[in-house]
Amino acid sequence: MFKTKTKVSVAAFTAVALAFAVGTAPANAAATGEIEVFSWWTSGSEDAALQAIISAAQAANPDLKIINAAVAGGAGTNAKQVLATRLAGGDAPEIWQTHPGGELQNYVEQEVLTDMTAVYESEGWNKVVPKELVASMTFNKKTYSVLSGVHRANTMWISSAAQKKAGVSLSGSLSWATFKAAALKMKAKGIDPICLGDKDIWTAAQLLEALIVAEEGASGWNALLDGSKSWGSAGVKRAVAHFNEAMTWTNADHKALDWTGAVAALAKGTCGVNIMGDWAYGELLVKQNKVDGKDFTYATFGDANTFVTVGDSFVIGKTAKNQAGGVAFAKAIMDPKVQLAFNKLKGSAPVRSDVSTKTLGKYQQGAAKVLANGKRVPSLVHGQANVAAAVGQAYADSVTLLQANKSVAKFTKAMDAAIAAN
Amino acid sequence: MSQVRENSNPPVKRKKRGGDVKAAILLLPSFLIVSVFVYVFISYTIGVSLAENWMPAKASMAQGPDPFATYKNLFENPRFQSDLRNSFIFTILFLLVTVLAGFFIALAVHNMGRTKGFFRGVFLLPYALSFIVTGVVWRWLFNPDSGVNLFLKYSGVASAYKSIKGEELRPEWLTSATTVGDVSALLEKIIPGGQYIQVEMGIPLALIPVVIATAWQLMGFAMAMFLAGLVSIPDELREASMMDGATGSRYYRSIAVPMLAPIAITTLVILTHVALKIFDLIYAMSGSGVGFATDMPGIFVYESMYKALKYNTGAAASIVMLIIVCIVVVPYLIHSNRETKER
Repeated sequence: MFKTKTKVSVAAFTAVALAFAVGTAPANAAATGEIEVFSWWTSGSEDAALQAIISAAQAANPDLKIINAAVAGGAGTNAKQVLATRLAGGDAPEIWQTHPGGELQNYVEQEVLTDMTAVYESEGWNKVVPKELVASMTFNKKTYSVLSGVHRANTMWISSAAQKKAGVSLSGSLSWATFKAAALKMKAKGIDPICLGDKDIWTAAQLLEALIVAEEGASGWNALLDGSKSWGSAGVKRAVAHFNEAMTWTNADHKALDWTGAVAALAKGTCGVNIMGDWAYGELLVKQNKVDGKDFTYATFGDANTFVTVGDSFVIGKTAKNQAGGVAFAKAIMDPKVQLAFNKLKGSAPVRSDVSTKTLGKYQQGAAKVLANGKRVPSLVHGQANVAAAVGQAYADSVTLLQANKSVAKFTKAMDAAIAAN
Repeated sequence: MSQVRENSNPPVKRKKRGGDVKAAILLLPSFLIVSVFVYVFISYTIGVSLAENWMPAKASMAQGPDPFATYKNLFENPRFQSDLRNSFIFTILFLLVTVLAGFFIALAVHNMGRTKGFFRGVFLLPYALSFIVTGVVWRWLFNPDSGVNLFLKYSGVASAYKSIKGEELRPEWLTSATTVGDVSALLEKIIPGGQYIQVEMGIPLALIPVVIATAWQLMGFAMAMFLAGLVSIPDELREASMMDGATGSRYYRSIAVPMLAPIAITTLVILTHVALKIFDLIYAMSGSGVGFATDMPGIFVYESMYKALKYNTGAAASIVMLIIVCIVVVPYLIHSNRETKER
C-alpha cells in the first residue's frame, strides 16, 4: 500500500513540476478566454490523469480559464447523452472526449469538429504517432482528434497463485492448445481457469475479440472490419468455438460481477486468467495491492506483438467560441511530458513513440514498446474501428445471444449483416 | 371536478361562461407547457423515428424510400423481440406478485393493534429506496456463489433437496439462460408474420429474481393503496354485514374485496406503467442478462441512442413503448372519465 501511495504522489508531483516546466517554456502566443473540457473521467485515477493535462495546459496558458465539465457514469454513455443534447442545441464545448473510429466518424458526419490536420503538420505529430492510430482519426484526409494515451485490450492477466497451484506457467504468445492444456490443469485443481465479470457484456465481447484477433492475426482482423473478409471464415469459427469452450471454464457468478469483480477474483487466485484492458493494471496495483511480476504476470492469446488499441481521444468543437483555446489544450495533451505524466496515472501507454517510458511500471514499458513497434489493430468492442458505432453494438448484441444459443453460424451471419449494413 | 359541480349551486348561465373563461386563462400556461414538452416532443420523436438519418447536430427529418424501414428492422431484431417478450412476462408476473402480496400485507397490517404504524412503516420503507440501490443489493443477493444460495446451503434445504432428488440444488438465478414454456411454434401459427420470431417465446428464468426484487420494492406501495381502501370502508357496513352473519373470511370475500376493486384497478394501472417503463432497477441488477433474458425496451432505447448512436432506432423503440403504455392507460382513463360524468 505504502509503495503505491508513493508512486501516485511522485506522479502527482511530476505533473505539477512539469506544469511549471511547460509554463516557463517560450509559449507561442498563449491562449486566453475560457474553454470547457467535456469528458467522462470523474473517478480516482482517471480524474487525476485529466487533472495532469489541465494543470499543464493552465501553466502554458496562464490567462486561459479551463472548466472541467466531466459527466460521471455509464462508461461515457451518460456523458454522450449530455453531449448529444448540447450539440442539438448548438452549444458545443471547446474540447470533448470521444473514441476514435466509428464514434468520431459520427461527429465528423455531423460536421461539428474542427479539422486539426494543419496542427498535426506544424507540430510534427504525424511522425511520432503510429500511422494506424492517425488513420483511425482521419476521415477524407482530414485528422480530427488527438490521443492522450492508448490502452491495450488484449492482455491476459495471470494469477501467480493459480499458476503455482496448477503447476503451469503461461507467458508470451499463447496458442489455444497451450492455453487449453493449462486451463484443464487449473480445472483439475479446482480453479476456474477464466475470471470473468460480464454483467456488462463488453467484457465477454472483449474476450472473444482477443480470441478472434489471435486466430485471424492483425491483417485478418482488419479485413473482417472493412468487410473484405467474411465473418464466416475458418479463423472466426475457430475463435467462436474457443469462446464457447472458454465460457464453460469461468467462475459461476460471472454474470453477477462487473470487470472489477473479475480482477478481484484474479487477485485472490480463485480463478486463473482474465482477459482485460490494461486499466486492470492500476486496479491490481492500487486496489488489490498486488506486485507486478510476483503476484501476477501477463501473456497474450496469439501473437504477443499484436496490440489491440483503445485510445482516449479528444476533439475540438467547431462551433465552440474559443478555437485558439481548444488548440492550446490539444497541444498540451500531445506534449511529451504531459503524455508521460498522464499515462503514468491512467495506466495506458503514451501515444507518442518518442516519449521515454523508463519511469513507467514494468508492464507499461512493455506495452509502450509493443505499441510503438508491434502490430496495432483497433478494438471493435471499445468503438475504435472505422466502422459505425452501430456495428460495435451489433457485435455486443451478437455476443449476448451467442452466450445463450452457442450458435457459431448465427453469430457469423449476424456480424456479416452488421458489416454489410455499415 | 365532479365534486365541485355537485357542491356548487346551479349557476346562472352568464356567470358560468365567465368562470369558463377564467378557468381557461388559468389553465392556459400549463396547457402550453404540457403541449410543448409532451405533445410537441412526442410528435418530434415520431418524426425522428420515420426519418432516414437524424443526428443531434444535423437534425434532418428527410425520409428515406421507406419511412417505416426503421420499424421493420426493429421488429425483426432478435434483441427487441426478446425485449417485448420480457416486458410482457415481467409485467404479468410483477403485477401478480405485487398486488397479491400488497393486498395480504394490507389485510394483516389493517388488523393489527398498536403495532400497526410500525409495520406500515416497515413495509413502505423499500418504496422510499432508489431503484439503483435495490438493483445492486438484489444483484448481490442473487449471486449464485453468495447470497440466497448460501442460505439454501446452510439452512439444510440444499442437502435435503439433494437427498431427495439426487442432484445439487444450486439455482443460477440471474445467470440462467433457460427459457421455460416456449410457445413460439404456436405463435407462429396464430400471428401473421409469426415466422419472423427469432427468440424463444417463454418465461426466461432469469426474470424471476428481477420480479422478486421489483415486487419487494413496490408491494409497500400496493399495501398503502389497499390500506387506504380498507380504512374507507364504513364501519357501519362492517357492523351490518356482521349482523347478517358475514364474519371472518366471508366478510372479506363478499364485502371488502368488492369494495376494494376500484383501488385494485387503479393500483394495477399505476404498477403496469411502472413495469412497462422499468429501466434503472434492471440496468443495475442484471443488465441485459444472458442472451437478453432480462433486457427491457427501456435499456434498448438507451443503448440504441447513446451506444450505437442509432437515434432513429431509439426513437422508434420509444414510440413502440409509448403505444404499449397507451394500450393500458387510455382505456382506464376513458373508463374513469365516463364514471365521473355519470356521477
